[in-house]
This record gives sequence, structure tokens and C-alpha cells, in this order.
Amino acid sequence: MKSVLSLCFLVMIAVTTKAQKKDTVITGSIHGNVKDSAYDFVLPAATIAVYRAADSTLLTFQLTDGLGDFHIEKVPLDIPLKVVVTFMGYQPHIIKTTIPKAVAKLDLKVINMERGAHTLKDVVITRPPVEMNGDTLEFNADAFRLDSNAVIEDLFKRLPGITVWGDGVVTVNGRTVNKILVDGKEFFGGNINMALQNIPKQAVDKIQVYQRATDPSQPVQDSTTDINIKLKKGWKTGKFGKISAGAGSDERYEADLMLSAYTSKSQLAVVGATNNINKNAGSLNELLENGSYKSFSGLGSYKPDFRQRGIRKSLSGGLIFRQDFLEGGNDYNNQNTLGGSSKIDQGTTTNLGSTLQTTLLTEGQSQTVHSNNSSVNTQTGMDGSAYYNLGTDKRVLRANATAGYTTGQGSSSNTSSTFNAKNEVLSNNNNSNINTNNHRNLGLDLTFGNQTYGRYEPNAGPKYQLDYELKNNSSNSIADRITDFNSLIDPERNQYFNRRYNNQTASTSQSLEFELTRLERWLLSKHLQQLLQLNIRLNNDATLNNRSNNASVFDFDTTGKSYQSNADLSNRSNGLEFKEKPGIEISRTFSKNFINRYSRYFSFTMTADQEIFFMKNNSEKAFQNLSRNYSNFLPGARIGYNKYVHNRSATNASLIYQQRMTYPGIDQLAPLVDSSQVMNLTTGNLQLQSAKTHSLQLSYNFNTQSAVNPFSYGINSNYSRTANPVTDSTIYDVDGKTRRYFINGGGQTQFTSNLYVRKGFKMKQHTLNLEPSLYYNSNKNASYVNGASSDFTSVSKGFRININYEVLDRFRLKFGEDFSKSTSDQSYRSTRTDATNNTLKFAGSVQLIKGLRLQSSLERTTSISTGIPGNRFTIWSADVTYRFLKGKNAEVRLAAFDILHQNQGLQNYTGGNIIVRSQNNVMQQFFLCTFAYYPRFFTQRSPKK
Amino acid sequence: MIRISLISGLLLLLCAGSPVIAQEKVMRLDPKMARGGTTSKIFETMEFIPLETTKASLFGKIDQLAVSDDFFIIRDASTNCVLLFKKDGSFYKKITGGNAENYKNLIQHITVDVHKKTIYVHRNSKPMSELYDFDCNLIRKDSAIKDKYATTLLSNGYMVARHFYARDNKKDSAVNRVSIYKDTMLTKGLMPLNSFGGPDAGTNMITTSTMNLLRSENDTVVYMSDFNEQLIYRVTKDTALPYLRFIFPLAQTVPPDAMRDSLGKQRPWEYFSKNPAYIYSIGNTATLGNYFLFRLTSYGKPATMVMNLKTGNMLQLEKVSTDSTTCFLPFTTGNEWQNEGITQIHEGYLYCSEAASLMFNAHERNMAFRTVAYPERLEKFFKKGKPSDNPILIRFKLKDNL
Repeated sequence: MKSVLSLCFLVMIAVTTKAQKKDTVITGSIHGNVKDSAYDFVLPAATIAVYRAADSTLLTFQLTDGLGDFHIEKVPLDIPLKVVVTFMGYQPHIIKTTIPKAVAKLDLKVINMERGAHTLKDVVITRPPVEMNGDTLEFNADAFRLDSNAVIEDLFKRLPGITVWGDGVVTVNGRTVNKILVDGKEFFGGNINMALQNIPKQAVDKIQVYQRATDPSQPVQDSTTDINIKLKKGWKTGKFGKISAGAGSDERYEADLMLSAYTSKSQLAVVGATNNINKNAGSLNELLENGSYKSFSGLGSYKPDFRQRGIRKSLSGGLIFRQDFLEGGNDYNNQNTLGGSSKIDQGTTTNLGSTLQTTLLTEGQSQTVHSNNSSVNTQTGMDGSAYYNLGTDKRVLRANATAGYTTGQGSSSNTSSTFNAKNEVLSNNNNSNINTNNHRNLGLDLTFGNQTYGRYEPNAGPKYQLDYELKNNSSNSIADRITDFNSLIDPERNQYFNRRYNNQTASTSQSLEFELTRLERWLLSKHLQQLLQLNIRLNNDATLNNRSNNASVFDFDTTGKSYQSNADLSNRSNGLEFKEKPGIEISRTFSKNFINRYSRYFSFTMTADQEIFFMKNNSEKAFQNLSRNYSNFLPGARIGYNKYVHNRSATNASLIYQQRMTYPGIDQLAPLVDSSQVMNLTTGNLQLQSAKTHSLQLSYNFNTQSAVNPFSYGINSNYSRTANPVTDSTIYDVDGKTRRYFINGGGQTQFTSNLYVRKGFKMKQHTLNLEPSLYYNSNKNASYVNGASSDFTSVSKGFRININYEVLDRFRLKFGEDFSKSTSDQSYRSTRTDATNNTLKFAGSVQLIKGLRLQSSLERTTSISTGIPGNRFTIWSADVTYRFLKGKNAEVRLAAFDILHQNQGLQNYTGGNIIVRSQNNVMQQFFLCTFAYYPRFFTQRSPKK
Repeated sequence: MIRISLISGLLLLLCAGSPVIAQEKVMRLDPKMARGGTTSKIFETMEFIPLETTKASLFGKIDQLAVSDDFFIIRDASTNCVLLFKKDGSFYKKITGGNAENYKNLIQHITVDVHKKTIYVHRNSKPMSELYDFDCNLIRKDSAIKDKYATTLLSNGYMVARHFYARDNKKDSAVNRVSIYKDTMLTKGLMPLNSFGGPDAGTNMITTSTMNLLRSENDTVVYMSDFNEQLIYRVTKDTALPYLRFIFPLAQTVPPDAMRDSLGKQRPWEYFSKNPAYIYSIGNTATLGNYFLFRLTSYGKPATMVMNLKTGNMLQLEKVSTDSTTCFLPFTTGNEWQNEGITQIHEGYLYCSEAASLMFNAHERNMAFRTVAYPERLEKFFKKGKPSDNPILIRFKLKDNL
């Protein structure tokens, strides 16, 4: 551990001392101001480069500041120098000079730049780097000179007021950016990094930042911050991607493919990946981001997962596309778009592990289960979706269709022994399982409504929106399970099962939501509207679910050597659930505005819903033929507070009270009891009642809208209480078997709270972001253990901090710590169990020379729980990446994973009255060499002759 | 080429000599060609005057400003008050108009007579005008002056007022867009308009502009323009004659029938929000020495222009960058809607204002990136003031021969 920390410090020192190498020479300074000679503008972000005149060696360079000033230090004295001033659209200005030792400071005064000869006088207008265009803040991309391979993310890091946080969130003057669009449209499904890390900076005309009112008709002027990246004419087409392959020790391999193309109306991306190093892409987005030209590989989420149990070989791929039928459309109020995506994923996971689980019973009593398990599972999944969006100023229509199919095969085996507190064996159990399954799902989602985008219409009628969703699922599975239970307490309790399960289930669910807002304009006269100033909204949610299940269960007859039908477990059943929930919401907002100072809004809302729930189950088993209906009145209330201090800060707070119902299902009321589940038998309860939960949510957020040092903090807390939740009464038999009965418990209380702070510092090229947070969760549940009333209380509290430090593209360091302590109390025991977990993460990236980058990540985990040995390990990985070729689009990477070889797959868990320690096969140390090529074509079209 | 036609047009204006010009001159103007610069290059002087903030003197923004020898007289619509501040920025007294949310209470405009030291307060409620002295004592109320939206007092004692006229003119008769008063007596109506039955009736082609009237250095003359007009009139106590007609680039010109089609007619602001480049109004027009000042209004952003009548040079104040001579502090003359731009001209000085919060934001950036030596008044303001204080009054003088 110490050696690891030392290494990190060495890296930091190497970066900071690199710039200090030239201190041995006595130096002077040069300063001046750069302007447009014709129109007398200052030119911010002009480049001043100082060369040694003799051999044109670049000595140093700087960009002018917002007022066109520059001040360059550490320039050699008494040698001929060449100072070259450049700015887009202007002829370079060259000054030959020397700084005499006696003077030491050279004042170049005002440098007047002449416009380039190829520019057309009436067409090229020099825009200031930043300007307000109405409500939109615009950054002129050409005013910021960057490397020719720079991408938009490099530009963002230089824009004042824009902060790219360590977790990828982008804020502008402290406000979180909701969307980043390209020419008014989502880019490859709204994937921010696809745009930021691939589109070259020189393709960008301007970056527009604007506030979009969430609903201009509402009195509370809440808004979201969006960014639009406007591309230059002639740069609307691009193709980019990544092709890579790598191999390493222990027969490890990986290969990735991402090819994308876009025009002003179309977008298409195809991705593929295969590996056996537990790199799992949870979504298409991750595969797309992995192919980004500028992705900071190693610090993103698509990387080998050393915590994953088992080793997985995977093959995945997909595509995403979008076609706009309107030229110049946008995603707000001028859209006619067809798009979709599909993903296929196939993987085989091999799992080997052992578990030690201790269940705490009454004082001094406990049962411990040692088990070993192994499994091999192969799963292939395909899913796709297609959407159509039609949006105008007045109407919106969205249709989204989804389809998916998965198929899998697996086999597993498990052997376990149960001991008492004196370490005496109580029972042994062996299980094996072979299964195949397939699952199909289809879905359709439709939304239709009117909207008043971008305009406030005091006389417009009510606004409506209709949402309809249809889902259809079906699945088939066949499983063979063998269970062999031996009791060392009473051999009469021994059991053996060899059972085959053949299940087919199908379900269809439909939901229809309807919402009507601004109803006060219909219901109240104009005079009453002005007098009461109420907002009235009606909504109605209706859901209908149908399902059918056909279970055929067979027991193996050892005499006849064949499977015989098990009449108790074989069953056909179908069920229906219907929920209807009309509701009304009435709100009133009080506002106070003081021009150029603040706008303040207090809103009070009352809601009233009536929820009607009906369920019916028909089955071949008579005890499962039942129906239930419920009707509940669910009131709610909300208080909201918003304050915007002009140019300074924004505060949002809300307090929400809600009620919701949960209803017991057929699996809790009258499940079929499978006797082969000897270690865990569950029985239903026809007397179960529905449970009502009261919840209170508090949220407070503050952020300063500062361009220099953004700062925000907030707290989000949630308290809920359920008087009679469905819980289980558990009986632990003498030989380790567990029997559960569903009951309505004595009550459950949950409380969660999270306090966070975000602070950013930007000083020239340096960015530092700090994100500490505290969290607290508590859960209290009343239940029964071995017939006695028991209260379970578990509390966990923790502290988290993430620190991100960057020096533009040259150096980046991420530090994170996550410390948590949790305790569990059971009312029937005087002792308490607790667990402490601490994870320390370092990740760093440094550019050693241009094109050569060293990256490293380290994660130190400490996990200590009562009654089991502590778990401490460090996973340290590092890689060296070299980019070459003119466009820096070829790459070779040498990587080493789990260098210290400490990943043993140990995990601890404590919850309720259970303590678990498990060990699984996990990825361990290996080395990998990968080659990648990033094809990039961004055409600048010449005008047609 | 553009510059030559500009100069020749302007020279004709200047050399005309007589204050009465029978026919307007046409000037082609591309606002994009206007220059910028730095404050040290453009302004002879620039002074920031913090206005004292107390519970009594707190106000929103400067909707209208008048300057006398002793006072700055400010009308603020958000607090519905008229406030008097001494020349050093300290608060003197105020006239309160009552609850600003009650439409009838609203003070629409004030007319200040710096010689008689009186303030005419024009309100929505009847009687429409109240006369106060500079100690904020009510002298009398009268209903003789019916025009309340924009007025200015000429040095010869005549008051020029914009006259509100209805878009749906139901009578077949002319309506005068400008009224001239002398001591509350209506003496003349100028700029007649008869829209009855015409294609523009009921449209926003005919809308009273409420933009402030600035009195020029030659203070018997007012220059003004109406809504959706590119024509500037030269108004005296007797005449209102076309003075200057602008022709803008096509991309910035409102099409002739725009206000007659359905969107322009029913929802003109939505029409202009979809066409933010269109210049739909010219205001704050005045002459100052060799300079002609005016403000172009579009939905995108207003632009304050300064035209040198001798050289033809065009300057846009929004393109001027602040530098060390102005302590790197902002001065906004029209970049945002909550700023009226140049609100007054007095003895060669121009006046505008800036929100205290923006001054503090600039001060924060100064502290992060540079060392600035502020004048004593500003030093005190940043030390003891708050971002929620009263706006800062900015007084500046243009250099000659820009």
C-alpha cells in the first residue's frame, strides 16, 4: 500500500517539475495587447508563440486573455527571438526582437492584426469569443485556438463558466446541463460523450447555452439548461469509429468495433465487442463511448470488472440510427424523426465459489451454513427498439416499439452443511440444477398531446396528454433439479427429490395515462381565475394485466426409471389485475419578483387520488381461486420553493407527502409449496391485507451561478412508514431448515438522507472539483422469528468524497473514498452486528510526451464484519498508450491488470440477522496488448460550381 | 462603397444648416459593420456612481432618468416610485405611486422641468397628471395632459408627448401620433395617421411606441421614431418632419406584410422571436455634437449606435470591451431586456446603468485573475455593498473624432 502511494506521488511530482526544468537560465518577460486593426476589436485567445530565431525552436507560447492581453514569463534574454502572433482569419504577425538583459521586460504594446487575404470583407465578421444573443450565451469556437486534433471536449475545458465534472456531468455557471444537442438534435441517442469526444473542434461554429422553460404556461419559471453545438456549414457530415484487437496472458483477448456516420439528417452507428475479461457493456451507450476518439480509457465504466463473480466470455453488438425528415428541424418544436437501436449480447459465465452464512437466532444461538457452488450459464439476448417522433409548436406524437428475445442454458451444483453455535453438524444438503429457458417481450408506447412550446398564452385552453403502453411477455423454461437432504439430528427428516419443471408463462399488460392541465380555464370564470389564481389538473391512470401460467412438474420414479407427473405442483392458472386511479391536483403559486434582484415562488399543491384495485386468479388448484378488490383514497400535498437571485444563485426546495398502496399477490396469498426447497420453504397466507405507506420527501438544493468557482450543495431525505407491511414470520428448524410464512408485520420505517457538496475551482489551465457527500440510511422492521415478535433495526451511514484534478489534456487525477459503517440490531439479542467498508480509489492519467500517455488505477477495499475475518485487498492496474500517425488515430496499448495479484473474490455482507462471507472465482492478474485504429473522416464540402 | 454613400448622405445632413429639412435622407446601414474598441479608446471619461441603498431608497431599475443641477431623478416601474438622488449618489427623497400590482396606480412616465424644478408624474388613474416639486411635495393634480407614455420637455417650455392611438381605429379621421403641450394646454397635434378601413387596421403595423424620448444637445428638438418604422422624425414645437430613413440589410428588415399575416397579427412577439434578426424599432435617438445616437431593437439584442456625422464612422457600444481605465467593469447599454440602454443625455454626458449583481460578478473575476485599483467610491461600494444593492449609474463622455 505504501509503495502504491509513493508511486502516485512520484507521478504528480514528475508532472509539476517538468515545467520547471529551465530554471537554471536567467529569463525575462514579454507582454502586449492584440487587436483587430480594421475594426478595433481586442482579440482574446490569440496565440503568441516565442521561437529561438536561429533554429526556430519553440520556446514557449500563450493565449491572450479576454481583453487581448498577454504576459509571457521565462523568456531567455540576449538571444534573437521570433514572436509569432496568430489568430483564425488573420495574417500571422511576426516580430523579430531580443530582450536585453538590462531591460528584462519587453513591452510589445499593441499588435494590430490584419485580416487574412482569403477572407471576404462582407462575409467574414469577427465575432467576439463570447456574447449574449437574447437569452442565449454563445461561444465562438474559432476564437479558441486548439490543436488540429482537438475535439469538442477540449474546447469545453477552455470555455469560461463551463465545468466538465469527474463523473461526466457538465455544468454552466453552476447549473447542470440537461441536454447536449448537435444542430438542435440529439446525437446518437443523446449520448453526450459521442459528440464531445469525437466531433473535431474545427467543425464547430458556436456553442450555444440557453435556458429552456420546462413549461412556459406554468407560473413557476423553472427551466433547464441545454447546450446546442452548432456545426459550421460544410461540416455537417462525418464518419468516425474504432477498430481494435488485443491478446494477452492466460489466453485473454478483447476486440471492439464501432463505426458511426452522420449527416445533417441521418445518424447511424454500428458496434461490436467480444472479450473474456469480464468487460460487460450494460448498454449500447457504453459500447459507443468505448469507441470515442478521445475517451479517457481506463477511467470509464467499460473496463474489466474485477468484482464480478465468475469469468464471462461475451460477444455483443448493436446499432443505433436516426433519420430526420425535416431539414433544419430540432427536438423541441420542429421534429419529424424516425430512429431506433438494437443490441445482441451472448455470453457464457463460469462460476465457482464458497459461502459461509451465519443466521443469528436467540441469545447465544446461531446456525451457520458452509456451501460450495459451481455453475456454467450461457445466455443470448437480442433486443431492439424503434421510435417515431413528430413534434410541432402545438402537438406532439411519440411512438416507441420494443422487442426482445433471450435464450439461455445453465447448470449448477451446490453442496452445503449446517452447523450450530457449538460447531456441531446439523444437516447436509446437495443440489444440482440443469435448465434451459427462453423469453420474449414486445412493447409499444404511445404519447399524444398538445403543447405550447416556447410561448406563454394566457388565453389558451387546457393542455392534455395521453400515454398508452402495451407489453406482452412470454417465457418457457425446463429445469431438472435434484435435492438430497440429510439430517444428522433426526434421520426421519431426510429427503430426496429429483424433479423436472416445465413452465410456460405469458402476460400482457396495458396502461393508459391521461392528463389534463390548465383546467381552471374551463372550470372557472375569468374573474374567479384572477381572484383565486389556482392551477387545476386532472389525471387518470388505468392498468390492466393478464397473465397465464402452465406448470408441469414431474418427479423421477426410481423404480420405473421415468418421470411421473406431480399432481400437487402441476398447475394451470391465469390471473387478472386491474388498477384505476383518477385524481385531481390543485395548486396555487405565490410569487414575488424584484427586477435585477430575485424571483421567488412558493407553491402549495393538494392532490387527491382514488385508487381502485381488482385482482382475480383462476387455477386448477381450488385454494388458488380467489379474487380481491380494494378501494383507497390517497391524498397528498406538496410545498415548493424556488428562488433565483439575478446572476448569482438558484435555490430549489420541496417537501412532498404521499400515500401509496401495495397489494399482496397470488405468490403471497396462496403459492404452491414446493417441498423440494427443503432449506427454504415458503407458505402463503390468505388473510393478508393490503398495506399503506406514508412517505415524506424533503429536497433542498442550492447552486451559485458563478463562472469562476461554481459551488452547489443540497440535501435529499426520504422518510416512509408502513403500518402493516407484508413480511415473513421465520421458523428455523433444529436441523437448519427454514420455513417462512407471509404475515402483515407490526410496521416498517425507513429513512434515507444524502447531503452533498460540489465545489469547482478553475484557475487558467487548472481545474479542481471536489464532491464530498454524507449519507444515512435506517430501516426498522417488526417481524417474527421462531414465533417471537422481533424488531430488526439496521443503520448505515457513510461518507464519500470524489476529487478530480486536471491540467487541460496533460494530466488528470481522480481520487475517491467511500467509507460506510452499518449496524444491525435484533430485539431478541443483546449484541449487535456491524460492518465497516472502505473503498479508496485512485485513477490518474499523464501525458509523458505528445501521444504517449500513462494511466493507472488503484482500488483498495477494506471490509470488516462482526464474527468473520476482515477482507482487505488492492487492485492496481496500469497501461501505457501511444497514439501515432498524423491524425493521432492509431494506438497501441500495453496494459497490466491486478498487478499486485490480490483479487481473491472475497465478499462480506451483513443485513438483518444474517452475516455472509463468500468467495468466488474472479478475474485475476493478466497482461494485455491491444492495437486500435480510429478512422475519422469529417468532410468540409466545397461549394457546388 | 458603403462608407462613401454613408459619408455623402451625412454630409448633406450636416451641411443643410437649416434646422428644417424638407425631405428625409436615406441611409443604408449594416449594423454588422459597426466598430468596437476598448473603453480607453472610446470614452473621454467614465464614472460609476453607486446609488445609496437603504430600505427607503431601494428600487429595481432605471426606467427613466432625468438630470438636473442637483439631482438624478429616477423612475422605477417595479417599485412604482420616483426617486431623487443627489449628485454624489446619496438618497434624497421619493414620490411613491402606491401598489405596483394595481394597474391604476402605475406611474407611466415623468416629465421633469429642471428650470422650474418640477416633476410631472403621469399615471393611469384619473386625474392623469400630478405635479410635484423637487422636495416631493404635491403641488396640484390636473387632467389636462392626457398623454402619459413618453414625454420630454424642450428648453422653450414646450412638452413633446407620444400620443397613444388605438389599432382598431373605428372613426374615419386622422389621429395625431405626437401631441405638443405648453403649460398643460394642448397646442398642436403632429404626425397624423388614419388607419380606418386600411389593411393595417387592427394590426401591429400601427402600435404606439413607448420608447423614451431623449432630448438632444440642441434642446428645442427631439428625434423620434414609431414602432415598426425605419423613419426618424425631427420634432419641434411646430413641426414633425421626416429626417432620416434607414435601409437595413434584407435579412434584418421586417417584410412589408409581416404584421398582416396570421402570426404577425395575432402573436407578434412570437413572430419576432422566430425572426430575431429583424429590426423592428429605433429609439433613444438624439444628436450630441457631431454624433447621432440611436438604438436598434430586435428580438435578438438591442444595439446602441453612435454615428459620427462628419466621418461616417459607426460605433456600436455593445462591441466596446472594458479595460483598466474602467476597472474591467461592465457597462451595458442594451445587451439585455432588463436594461433601457442610454437613458439620458445631459451637458455632453451620456447616462446608462448596470445591475449591482453584474458589478459584483465582474469584481469576483477581477479578484481571481487580475489586480485592479478602484476609485475610492467603488472601493467603498465593493467593500460595504451587496449584489442586491441599487443599480450603478454610469456617466460617460465620448471622445471627439471617433
